[in-house]
Amino acid sequence: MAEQRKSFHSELDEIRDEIVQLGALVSEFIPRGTEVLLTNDMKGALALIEADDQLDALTLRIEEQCYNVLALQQPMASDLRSIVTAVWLTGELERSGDLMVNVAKAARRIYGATLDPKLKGLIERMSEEASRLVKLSLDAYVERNASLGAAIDDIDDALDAIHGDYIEAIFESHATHDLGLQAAVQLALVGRYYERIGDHAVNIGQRVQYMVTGWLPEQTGAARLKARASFELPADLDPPGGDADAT
Amino acid sequence: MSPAASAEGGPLRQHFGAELEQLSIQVEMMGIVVDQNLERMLEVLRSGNLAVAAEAIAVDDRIDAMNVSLMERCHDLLRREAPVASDLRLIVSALRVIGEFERVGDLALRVVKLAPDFELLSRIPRAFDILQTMGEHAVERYRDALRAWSALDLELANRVATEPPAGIAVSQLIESLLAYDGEDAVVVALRTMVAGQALDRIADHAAVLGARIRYLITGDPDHLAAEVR
Amino acid sequence: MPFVLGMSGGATALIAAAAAVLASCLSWIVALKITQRRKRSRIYDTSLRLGLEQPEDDGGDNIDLLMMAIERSVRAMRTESVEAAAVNSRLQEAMDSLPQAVLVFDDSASVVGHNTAAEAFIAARHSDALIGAAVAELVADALVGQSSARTLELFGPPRRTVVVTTNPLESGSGSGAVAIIEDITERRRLEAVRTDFVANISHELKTPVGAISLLAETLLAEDDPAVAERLANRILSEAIRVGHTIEDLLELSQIEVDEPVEFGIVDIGDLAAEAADRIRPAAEQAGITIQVAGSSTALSVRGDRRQLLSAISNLLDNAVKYSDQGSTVDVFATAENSEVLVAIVDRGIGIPVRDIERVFERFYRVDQARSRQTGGTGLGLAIVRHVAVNHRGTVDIESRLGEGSRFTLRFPALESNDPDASEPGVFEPGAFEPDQSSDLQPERLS
Repeated sequence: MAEQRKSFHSELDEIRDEIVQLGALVSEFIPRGTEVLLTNDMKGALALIEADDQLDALTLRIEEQCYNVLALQQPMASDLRSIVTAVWLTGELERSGDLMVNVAKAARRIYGATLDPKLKGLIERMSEEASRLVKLSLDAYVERNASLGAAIDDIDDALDAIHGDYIEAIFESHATHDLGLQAAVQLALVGRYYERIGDHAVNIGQRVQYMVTGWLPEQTGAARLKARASFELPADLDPPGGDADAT
Repeated sequence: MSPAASAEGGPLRQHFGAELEQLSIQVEMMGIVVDQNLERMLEVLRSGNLAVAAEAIAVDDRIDAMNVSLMERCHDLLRREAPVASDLRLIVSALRVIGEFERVGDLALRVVKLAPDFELLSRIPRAFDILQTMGEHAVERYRDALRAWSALDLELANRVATEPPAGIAVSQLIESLLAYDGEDAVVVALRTMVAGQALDRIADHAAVLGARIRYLITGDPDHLAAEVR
Repeated sequence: MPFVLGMSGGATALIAAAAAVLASCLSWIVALKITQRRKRSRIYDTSLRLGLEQPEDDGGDNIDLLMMAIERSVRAMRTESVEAAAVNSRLQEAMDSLPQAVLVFDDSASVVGHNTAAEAFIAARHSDALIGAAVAELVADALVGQSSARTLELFGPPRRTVVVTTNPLESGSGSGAVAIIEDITERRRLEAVRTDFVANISHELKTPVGAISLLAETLLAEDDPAVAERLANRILSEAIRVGHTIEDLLELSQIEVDEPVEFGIVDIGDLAAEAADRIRPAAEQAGITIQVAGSSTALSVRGDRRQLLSAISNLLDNAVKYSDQGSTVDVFATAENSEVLVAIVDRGIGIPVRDIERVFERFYRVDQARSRQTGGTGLGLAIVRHVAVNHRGTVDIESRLGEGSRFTLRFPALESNDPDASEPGVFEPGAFEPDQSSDLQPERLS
């Protein structure tokens, strides 16, 4: 039994290491995709789109591994949360990677368009913020640091603020006719991709909080109690739309 | 560790089966609550009705509570029963599905919270039209996914999972925003884009749900791979 | 009595065993009289196991010889193991002094030894985790006897180029592998600097010279005085251009020369004002305002007045060149802690992140097309950097595309009680290897 626990924990460590690797691949993708976009690097765009396969393969491998551990072991509460968190994180990270693939695709669509320095500067800043958020969320995960996990939501506000300036800059650039309509549309989408990477990092932060504390951030004590009560009797799940506060 | 449950035999197993059945229904119930909030979202998107918006915000607390409660339930089942194969798939899928539901609920709320800015959202007729279409499309896809869950309908799940993303609508939306050059162009664009993005992402989450459900039905990891788009 | 000598244990085990053997031998001697025969044969057995030369069993004296031999042997073993430990720790120390990371693996791919530089890759995160993953992959190859190497381009930040090399280890007990991780970013960068410099200098010098000879040929065959004048004017402007380049190159090589420089006491605030006054007419023509915020106190540093003026002028010149019409360039001169600093701040086009590291290279251009218009020589920032190094100072950049740049020069402030403060001194700039001084690497402060 002791022997089994040990190998179980080494399996958990392995899962964690692979998540770290997946996270590292994603946080590399961010500056890489940004450079592809800012330098009109078509070869780089293609290489990044192809490299996404590696990321997808690792995602699947981790998820399968989590299933195996769940099926073969009988994890205890906190270990169980770690495994379920790992399954979640793969999803968040994988989608963040896809968003950078979208940036590379957008780079191909706007090929030849000249971006004014201000736009480029804002893109660089969004990219740096997004990559910082991903790294911080992974730090929170590896260190099992719930308060860092919670802080990511606040840190993400900076990215949202830059995104606002960015949209404004696109309008300016488009209004002075330096930036064509198609390029402006693509660039607006690009800004959205960075913003969404930030959202995924916030989600990771929340999952980490849950992994460490067993609590979801939005749950206050009262709400939690209420939630517990609401499922004691299946009958309570009356067709919703009735009084939401009935319980 | 070999699954202890098989040795324990009949009645316990049956009880477990009933629990899984119940879990599946409760997940569906949560899905319905989210669905009803999506309907409220569409109403807010059409009319900017503040009362409906307030109602949606209140219901979202309930969605969050259901999410937490169902998560604990799934964990409890995983811990107690050490399920294998299809049972394990069902429980883990339920976990993922309720998470997606909760996200969809949050995104709906993002739109709903724009109600005070309805005037800005409806400033550009074309953008307003596109938003309505995007909203209806997203909710339709979500409903398909929910139906696929309750009926375990492989064909439907597959359709939701593979339908191409609605990127074109977002591009059209941005185009319409850029074409407007009123004084408040930027603030109109920012608000409208928040709504457009949220709607687009609801559709995205529906596709992820489709892929999850497909995997639940077939157990084929390639079907999980399809989620990885 | 357990004799573990036959088994291959560590040095410590060997000593312990040998000591145990010795102790038991001694006690046997005491008991010899009682069970002489039996004990004696056991001592012979022991000496046999220790691999000692066997004297003949004469029933008495030879036992003492044997005991002495055993004692010697134990002492030798103890010395050997102390020496082995010393060799080991010396090897470890040598490994630790390597800039490359070295990791040694056993046949199950577990790390059994590593040096200090390798610590960063154990339980690593972010891009280091990717290096760790590459090591794990290549070590698997090495364990089946295959050497391999892989170059990783990492975007970081910071951007890095890293080479991972693995080799099988066959000696010792069982197979193993060694992995070496080397960061070749700086080497790559220097190679790029070298090759780009050669390419750029031939471009910067050959292009105008080629143009001049072509224009001159045309001029010789030209009869129309109006055309001839136009050609002569173009020759003149090309000649001025190439002249500027050569002047800057000369200045740069002079600043780079390793000869002692005559240093005096210089007030940086005055220099900043002087540099600003010089460039103001040209700036005003381009619709750019220069504002100088000086300090009320003297900002003295020890240095070469001409060099320092040239550095500040170059920075100002750049700031004006890359500013938009109607904008302002600010010059701040202040003292901070034990440093004097001059900052030149513009609201111009800014520098892309990926170029920031390279702008101090000779002839490096962020935007070829634009620099052709602005007519710089591409040497200004290289001069600034060398002047900073010569004065034990630094120069760094904060920049953002579309928002502008801030260049900050920092020099050690002259202490008021400096005994040399009143007289010019001699300073040996060669003490700082200009091209390798790492603290000079420009860094971007968010």
